[in-house]
Parts: sequence; C-alpha cells; structure tokens
Amino acid sequence: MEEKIAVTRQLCKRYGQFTALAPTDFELKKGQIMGLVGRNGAGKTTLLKLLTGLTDPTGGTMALFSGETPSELSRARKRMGIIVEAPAFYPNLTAAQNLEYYRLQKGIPERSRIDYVLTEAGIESTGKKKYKDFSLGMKQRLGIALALLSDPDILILDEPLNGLDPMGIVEMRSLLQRLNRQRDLTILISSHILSELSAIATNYSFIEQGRMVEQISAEALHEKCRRYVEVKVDQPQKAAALLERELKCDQYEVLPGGVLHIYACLEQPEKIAAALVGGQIALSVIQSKGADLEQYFVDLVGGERRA
Amino acid sequence: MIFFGACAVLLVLTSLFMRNTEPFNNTSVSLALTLNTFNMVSLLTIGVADMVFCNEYKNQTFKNALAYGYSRNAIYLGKFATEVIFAFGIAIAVFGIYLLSVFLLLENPPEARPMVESYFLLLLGSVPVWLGCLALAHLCLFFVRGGTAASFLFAGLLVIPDSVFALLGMKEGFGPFCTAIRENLLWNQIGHMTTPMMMTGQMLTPDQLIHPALVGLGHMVVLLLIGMALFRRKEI
Repeated sequence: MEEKIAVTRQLCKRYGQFTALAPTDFELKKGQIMGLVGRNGAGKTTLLKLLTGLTDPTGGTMALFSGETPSELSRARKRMGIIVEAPAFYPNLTAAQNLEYYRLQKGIPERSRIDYVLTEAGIESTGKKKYKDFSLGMKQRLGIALALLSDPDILILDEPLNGLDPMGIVEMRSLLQRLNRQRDLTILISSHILSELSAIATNYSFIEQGRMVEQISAEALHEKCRRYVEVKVDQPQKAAALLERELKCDQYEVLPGGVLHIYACLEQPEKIAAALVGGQIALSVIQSKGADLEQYFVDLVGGERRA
Repeated sequence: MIFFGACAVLLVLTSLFMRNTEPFNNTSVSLALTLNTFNMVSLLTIGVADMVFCNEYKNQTFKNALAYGYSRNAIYLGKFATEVIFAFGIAIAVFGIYLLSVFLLLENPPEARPMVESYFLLLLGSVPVWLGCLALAHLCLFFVRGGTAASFLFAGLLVIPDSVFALLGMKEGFGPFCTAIRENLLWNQIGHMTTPMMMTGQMLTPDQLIHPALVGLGHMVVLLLIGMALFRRKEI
C-alpha cells in the first residue's frame, strides 16, 4: 500500500464569516506529483499554509507522515521543502549567503549542499549579486534551491513557475520530474494554469471557492478529456459491425439510447457518416466532442472560458 | 553597528579632550558626566533588537522558519536570546573602550574611588533594566509590522507612562497608587540609581540594586510571556 504523506479530514479555515477553505478531505501519497488547481482566490494557498503550519486550522485534522500531534507535525515539516506565496529572502544578501543562513538555521552540516542546490536550480552563477537585484525568475529559482536545501521527502510548491520564461518553465518541469523519478520525491504543486501542470502531474486536485471539487488521477482525467465522435442511430449493433467492417475501426463504445462514441477517424467524421448512411442506418446525430484540460476545469467549476 | 562604533569613538574623544582640561581630567568627573547616558541606553535597545529582527515582516522571511517546523515560541525566544547576546557584546565593547580610555588617559586619584565603585555597581544594576527594555523592544517588533512604527510604540510605552501617572497622581486619592506604579516603571529604575549620585553625590550601595533588578527581570519575564502569546495568534 502506498504511504500516505499528507492526509486531511474535514480540515477547514475561516476568517470571521469568510470561509477560505471549507471542510476538506485530501490525500497525498508517496511518489505522486499532485497538481493543485484552482482559480485565484480559490483556496490553494490556504490549504498549503495549513499543511505547512503557517496558519492554524479552524477545524478538522491533519496528518503528515502519519503524525498528528503538534510535535509530530513539527518533526514532519522538517522533511518538507516549501515555497508558499512568493519566495522570501534577505534582500541585501547574495544567493549563497541567504542559503548559508538557512543552512545554519536548519542545522545542515554540509556546506557543499549550497552549491549543489544552486546548480540544481540553475542559479549557480549569480556571484555577488544581491537578492534585491534578482529578476522574478531568479527569485523563484532561489526559492526552489531553498526548498531542496534540506534534502526533503516532499516538496510543496505554490505556483513555482510564476515569472519563469518558457525555457525556465521547461527546465523547472524537467527538474521536478527528475527529482520525482530518481529520488521518489513527492511533489504538491499549485497553479491556476492547468497546462503548466499537465506535462508533469500524476494526480490532480481541483479547488474552487474554498471547496475541493474533485481529486482525480492524470490517467482518469485524460480519459475524461479524450476526444470522440458521437453518433445516434436507430440500429446501434448493426452500426458497430459496419464500422468494424467498412472503416476497420474497433475503438468505439456502444451506449444506451442508440448512442455510439467513436474514438477513431476523428478528423474525418464524414467517412463515418457516409459508412452509416450507405449501410442503410438512420443517423440522427453526429458531432465531435471531448474537452481539453482547461475546458474540463471550466466545466467542473462552472463559468465561461475566455478566448 | 556603525552607530555603536561611533558612540565608542565619541566617548574616547571625550576622554582625550578632558585629558588636558584641568581640573576635569580625572576619572570621577568623566564617569559622572556619562551617568545621563544610562537612560539613553534603555532607548537604544530598540536599535539592537531591530538589528537582530532583520525586517522579518517586511521580507516575509518568518514563513521559512515556521514552515520548517520551528515552533513560534522557539522563534520568539531564539530571537530574544540572540538580541541579548548582541546587546551584551555591544555593551561590553562600547563601555569597555570608554572605561579603558578613561583609566588610561585620565588621572585616577584615591578620592575618585567611590565614584568608580558606584559606576560599576550602576552598570551591574542597569543590566536587568536594560534586559526589560530589550524585552519590550522585542515585543514591539513582533507585534507591529514595521520597524519605524515599532520604534515609536516602544519609545511611547517606555517613556510616556511615567508622565501619565505623574499627572494622574495629582488627582486627589490617586497619589499613593500612582506613586507606587511610578516606582516600578522600567524607565524610572536607572533614574532612581543615578539621581542621588548626581544631585547629592551619594554613592550607590549593593542593596540599592535589588529593586531595579526585580523590576527589570520581572518586566522581562512578563513581556516575553505576553509577546509569545501574541505571536502565537499572528497570521504569517
């Protein structure tokens, strides 16, 4: 059985009358790359703050590495590397000086660890440049370096791709995948842009207006988003046989009500129509269907997709 | 740090200036002239605390320590311990340089001995008071998001209550109560020790250090407890 790194049961956070996070059940298993997806203000950062101890819950329980008591949670958090909201460092120190401060604070004995994480994050050549003079992308990379400094078992990253250029996004994704693959590092990464996560996430959690609306694996999500041609006929069994004989197509589903979902010939639905009509089958509906990931998310939370 | 270095330099320059200034070129006069600075040191504790606090709110760096699993109490007390170490280091350096310059550059006649002994007792007696002031500065920095606002709050909380209770004490029936309060305010403790020395030449005795020590350390403990309680509830 996969080890559960983080489990919440009815975990919630309220600020007065405002519910930032409704009672939420959430699970993160070892080795997963979990994409936490939601609009701005949906509650992603609130959930991450609760998991990392930056704020106290209003209700519910939480377990990290099977520990639930305050001291167990405190010990568990030493196994986590985090970026929550923007990375935070001392502006008048260099990258290495900032990491040296945190190396001492965390009691990490190897000084060479600083060079290693700077190289991993791709900012090994900042030299004497002070943090206040860093670009946004460099700041994000230093945040990643800090998250990796203590050799964590889990990374919790709040929109880590913000501010990175396209090359930086590719490099960051590649780094996270490599860490996950080589070191079995569990990663919880939040974003409001689904396409950023689609290349790496193995699981998704969708959050909207403080509520967890769905938790789903990447395979199931891609299955749900799979494109197909939907036809409605009077003789579905005959239509299925015709598709196999005439179009050599065996990727289809027969559904109740005379509906077939066909997963081949997606770019040439006219062939499907011609085959069915030619076989004396009454065709009442034919349309292309299936969502991309963004449309899936929009449909899930309700709302219009813009452009 | 530049400021404290400058203070040390100024004090040495004072000794150099007095060296050739009869009849003021002896240790007793120099030490008496610096008695007023002890209360100023109380105000300077906010500078020491601010140096160690390092704009944690402005830089939003608290979350790095909190998310690593350090408890808020550990962070609060750890910062205070660092401030105490810093404060001791700076005080030893500045006072050490000053006293060295006084004893090396000025004359030290036998009649100056009571003042020298009182001065060292005053230093000893001021330490608990300064610790109390440091705890107040520490609380203000943790409570208020902004070094400038924290500094004003600190100065206000340290200095103003004495005036307030002095005014209230003028009201009939409030006198004894307000006098008792004023006796136990942090800001007045060093004055209780230095005023007799300056006004009547009465030298300090060890038993006169007990009350300031109790007030200073009592304030320190209470302010630390209040600060920890407030910081536990603060959203980071």
